[in-house]
Amino acid sequence: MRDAAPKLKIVNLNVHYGDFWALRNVTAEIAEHRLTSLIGPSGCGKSTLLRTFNRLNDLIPRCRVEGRVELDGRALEEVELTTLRRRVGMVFQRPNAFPLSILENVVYGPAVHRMARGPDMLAIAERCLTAVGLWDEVKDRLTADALSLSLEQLQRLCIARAIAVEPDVLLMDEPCSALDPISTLRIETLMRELSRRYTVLVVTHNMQQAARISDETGFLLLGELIEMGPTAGLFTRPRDRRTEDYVTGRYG
Amino acid sequence: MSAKNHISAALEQELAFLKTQILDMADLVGTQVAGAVAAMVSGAVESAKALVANDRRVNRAELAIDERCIRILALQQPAASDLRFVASALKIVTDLERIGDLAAKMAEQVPVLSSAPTLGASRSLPAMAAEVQRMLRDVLDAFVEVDPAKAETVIAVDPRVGAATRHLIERIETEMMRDPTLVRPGVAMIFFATHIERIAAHATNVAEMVIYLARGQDVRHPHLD
Repeated sequence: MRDAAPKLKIVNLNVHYGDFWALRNVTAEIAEHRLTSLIGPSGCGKSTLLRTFNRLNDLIPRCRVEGRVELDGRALEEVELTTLRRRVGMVFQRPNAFPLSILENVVYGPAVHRMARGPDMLAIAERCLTAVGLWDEVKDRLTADALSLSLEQLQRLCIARAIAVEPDVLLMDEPCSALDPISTLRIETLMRELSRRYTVLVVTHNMQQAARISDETGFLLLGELIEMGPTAGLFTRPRDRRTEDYVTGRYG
Repeated sequence: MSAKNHISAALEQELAFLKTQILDMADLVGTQVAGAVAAMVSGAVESAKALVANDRRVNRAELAIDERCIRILALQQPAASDLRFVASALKIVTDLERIGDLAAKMAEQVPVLSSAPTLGASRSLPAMAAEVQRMLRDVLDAFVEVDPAKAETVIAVDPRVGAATRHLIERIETEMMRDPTLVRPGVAMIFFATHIERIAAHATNVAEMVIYLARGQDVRHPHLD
């Protein structure tokens, strides 16, 4: 698996927000169908790194991105933006469901991308809601307002919406931080399942979460990718002293 | 391990307590071994009996350390060198407890050894015991200083102790064959020597754990790689 070509690759990535140097010479490879977590203290650049992969940073004024970012060996700038956003889905910290019905939320992407119509849409909805473990709970009220769902259900719905356009990569920015511990464990289980079909990249503040769910973990500090490797290694014998200090809670 | 303190005062304190407990237990065990050897040399039957009774303290220390380790794992979720420290503490404590048991068993042989005629071979026993006690001291220094190089020197001594034990047993056997009245103290002395050799083996286990603690590298079974 590790010898296969990487799904995502970044070489000498530098990101500036105005005068602030947010990512410094970051080079990394993200393997396909693996769950990779990015950890590090607030402001270390992990969310910036995540947003690089779907070019969400482009929307931020005075943000300058230099270096090469590849999806399946192709530079991101060469991929048409709507195609890129379809292939690289994103799930945010707070579930951001649209104020529409449950069904409309899930098939929103396929409708925009004209991927299906009519009864096929229903098939997509069933497939995606089943994949996130929500189908049995909502199948009898697909036309109900999405915002009537619980927080955990809403997050599942957002994940269903993200996978409805059949992406290759799922970016998740603190996807459990608004959830209670039990919901968190359930979403974590779902994330593990998703990583069999998608390349999943997660930003988390919760080190134990990274330890529980990810195959690979990267540690960022002050915009630098200090260390990246198999999760068990990073949490039992990190190579870099700065990683050691962070995972043992000595960061100061 | 890092020179920096933990942000969590509770974790910092728990790990410091754990280290103190291990050192206290190691001190106790070292005293037990030294006492058993001294009692053997001087034939002090009463102090040997006290040593056997004292083994309860060693066992209590083991339980207390186990309990703290489990609590740290459950409540503090240590990682990296902290995790390796707690994991090695759980293993080291077992070796220390066994060393305590062996010291008590050595002390149990003292009445037989002191009441019977002396074997010529007994003269080399104190030197062998001293070597093993040095291993114990060194391995604890290695643990305190997280010094894998020092731990390796302890591991290197172990084969020498094994060879010395085998040699000693051969000499005891020869003496027993020559003079049957020496069989009883001879057997007691073989027990005594074998216990010392086992202590060296446990010190070696602790040394291997120190290397794991320092480098995150398991050196116990190299032929399995």
